[in-house]
Amino acid sequence: MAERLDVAGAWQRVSMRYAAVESIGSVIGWLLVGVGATVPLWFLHDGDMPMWAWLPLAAAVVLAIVSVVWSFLRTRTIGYLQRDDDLLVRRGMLFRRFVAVPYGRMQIVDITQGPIERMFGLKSLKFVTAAASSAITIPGMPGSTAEELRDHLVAVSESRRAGL
Amino acid sequence: MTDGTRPPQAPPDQPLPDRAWPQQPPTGQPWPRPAEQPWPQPVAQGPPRSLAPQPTGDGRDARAKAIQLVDGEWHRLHPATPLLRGGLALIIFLGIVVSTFRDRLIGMFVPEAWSEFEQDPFGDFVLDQLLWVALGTVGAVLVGILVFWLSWRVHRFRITGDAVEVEQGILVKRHRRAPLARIQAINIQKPWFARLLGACKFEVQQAGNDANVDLNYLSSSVADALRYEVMDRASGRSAAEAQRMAGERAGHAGGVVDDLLRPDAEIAHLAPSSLVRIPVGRIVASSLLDGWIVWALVYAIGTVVLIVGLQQFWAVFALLPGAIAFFAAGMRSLGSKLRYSIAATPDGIRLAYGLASTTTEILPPGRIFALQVKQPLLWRPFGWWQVTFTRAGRSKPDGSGQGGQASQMASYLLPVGDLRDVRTVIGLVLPELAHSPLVDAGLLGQAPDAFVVSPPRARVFRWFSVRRNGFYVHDAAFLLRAGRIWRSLQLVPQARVQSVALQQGPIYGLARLGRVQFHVPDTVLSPGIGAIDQGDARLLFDHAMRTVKAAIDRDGSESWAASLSRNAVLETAPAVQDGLMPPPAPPVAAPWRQGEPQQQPLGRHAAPPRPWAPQRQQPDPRWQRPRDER
Repeated sequence: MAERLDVAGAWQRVSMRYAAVESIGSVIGWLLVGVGATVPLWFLHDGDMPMWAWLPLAAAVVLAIVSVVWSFLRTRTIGYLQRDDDLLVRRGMLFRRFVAVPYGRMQIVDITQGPIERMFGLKSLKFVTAAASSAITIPGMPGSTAEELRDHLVAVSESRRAGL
Repeated sequence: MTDGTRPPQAPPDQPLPDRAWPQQPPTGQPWPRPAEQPWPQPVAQGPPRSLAPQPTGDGRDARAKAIQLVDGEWHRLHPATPLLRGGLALIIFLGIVVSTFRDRLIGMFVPEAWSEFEQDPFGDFVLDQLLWVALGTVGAVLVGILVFWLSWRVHRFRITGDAVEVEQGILVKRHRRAPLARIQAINIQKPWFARLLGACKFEVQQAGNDANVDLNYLSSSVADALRYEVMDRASGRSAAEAQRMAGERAGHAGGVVDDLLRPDAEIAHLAPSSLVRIPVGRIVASSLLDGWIVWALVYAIGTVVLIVGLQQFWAVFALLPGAIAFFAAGMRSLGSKLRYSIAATPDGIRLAYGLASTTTEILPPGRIFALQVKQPLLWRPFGWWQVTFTRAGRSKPDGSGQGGQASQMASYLLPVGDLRDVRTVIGLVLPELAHSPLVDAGLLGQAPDAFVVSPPRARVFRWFSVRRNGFYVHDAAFLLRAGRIWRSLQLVPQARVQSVALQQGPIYGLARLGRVQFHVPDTVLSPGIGAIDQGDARLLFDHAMRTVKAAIDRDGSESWAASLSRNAVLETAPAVQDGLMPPPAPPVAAPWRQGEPQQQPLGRHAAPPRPWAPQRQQPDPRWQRPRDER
């Protein structure tokens, strides 16, 4: 396979613990789907399940395993790079996306933390520009790095404030 | 009937402490103001500013009234506002009640002829308790009038040197403030019913969804002048300069004509200065060919065939209402386009449209985030193009059913026009590109030219347009060209780009192609270019961030008085060449700026575009020797 699109630089990786967060979320999701499909079949057959009736659950388990592997691979690709004039965020392995936001264009910097993220001590940073399609998040920021990066970005963008 | 007949200062019995509002924002410096404040706050309750001698006429009166309104004090809206904002529904409701009981009322006086109401219990109840019903009705109407009157009393606006503010609500107070530097556009809409009462909507657009500050409704006679006053302050122009410009306007405009017999009276005096003239025939023909009406006709014919040919009469009820709605929508947009005009003012681009309900809009420079020029297939034999654009604000229908026009036409910069019109319009938005051959190349050209196009291996993704699909980076804008059958050209002003994305999916990855997407507010357009070589995409991405940064730094459109570069365009506009309008006066530098170092005028002389192609000479050598075969 030919060399893929890439942007060189000293990329800051996000914590690999975020892969665990993503895996737990997707495993729970797939198991719910599998169980939800199996329980009606169980009642339909009065507990005497034919072999094929286990297929949905098996498929869900396989998908859950795939998504766990997937989230580890994908987390490795998430990164950000602070350049002189803009913040660069990358994400995705097959579907690669690099987004560059000039510091002056950042309108809001949000920090969010879900319940699973809280267990692992991670936070997500979300940037809002005037364009809805920008849609930039950096998940899996460990410890206080999220706050530090936010404060830094807010300070920089305040000093370079440029209308719309 | 006008606001100007009232004293300019707010009455003393206001429930809110006027003086508590600071004239200047207390802290922070969220928007840059010129070093010298050209608009001293008038002393509260002082006399209106004296006016220099000007040509007599409506223009001067209107300006005098407008100046009274911008004195930083609270003012009320047009007295007919409650009626227009919702009272209309009350009147219609009363009308329905009266018409329902009309027979009953007649029956009261001519009992013999109307005996069929004997069995009507509700009617009998009404007759039995006539006194109470009458009292209740009168009471409800009185309460309604009182509520409307109160809501009008507390609905106030003021315009200071920094912001337009509106305050409304009886129980729940709502206060909204639009900083002048952040105004995206000012809209004056005149729905036909409001025109009858001499009122209009005055909408100050701000970025964001539902973020507009509406002064609904204002007196028509003063709205136009008020808009100029607000624009003068927002542009950072000196008072003397504003005075001079107002004199010029009064000289030939003659103010707003309120002549109900002429639906176009509002824009009759504007039309001659429109930079493009769209013949009626072209508008009708282009609308017919645009699809909307074609589909409506297909729909109607299908319905007729189904009904008459196949004897399926039930289809009438299923299909006909849809066809009528379809047709009505097409006709309405046709009506809006018929009076379309676009012109350059010192405050930016002025758009006007509408027949019975009219809208005029001024978009200051730098409020257009992306442009798209496209050509529907059926327009191609005629050489017609359409220009749409995206903006940060959005005008929202207010529920009275009369505000649809502005939101419907909000993305049209030119509904239909030939190549010359397109060049003019692009020149208005991006003066740097006014005389550039790049526009023509972007619209019509293909591979061996200045644009960087897709490599031949991208033919799989761009079957016919592989030699057209490409981009060019100009100092002022990104030009993204696409489509050979449905031609289109997107222009993204560099200083307006919010962020840039570089994307590659797995299939593009196999073909070593990439996509670059420019993010702009709103979703009307999402400018981007796909299926270009990944190396080129990478270079475009890197280069874009550098040039966007530079463009943002030198962008001065928040207060735009300093860059009067628009005149450069007007000198060669077709309208000037055709003698439709006089050539513009040379720009006069704002007096308070003369000491300062001259800000680099953006494209004042339409600097020759510095070609940027990634390390390649033109024409693109790939077309002589494709890299794929190496």
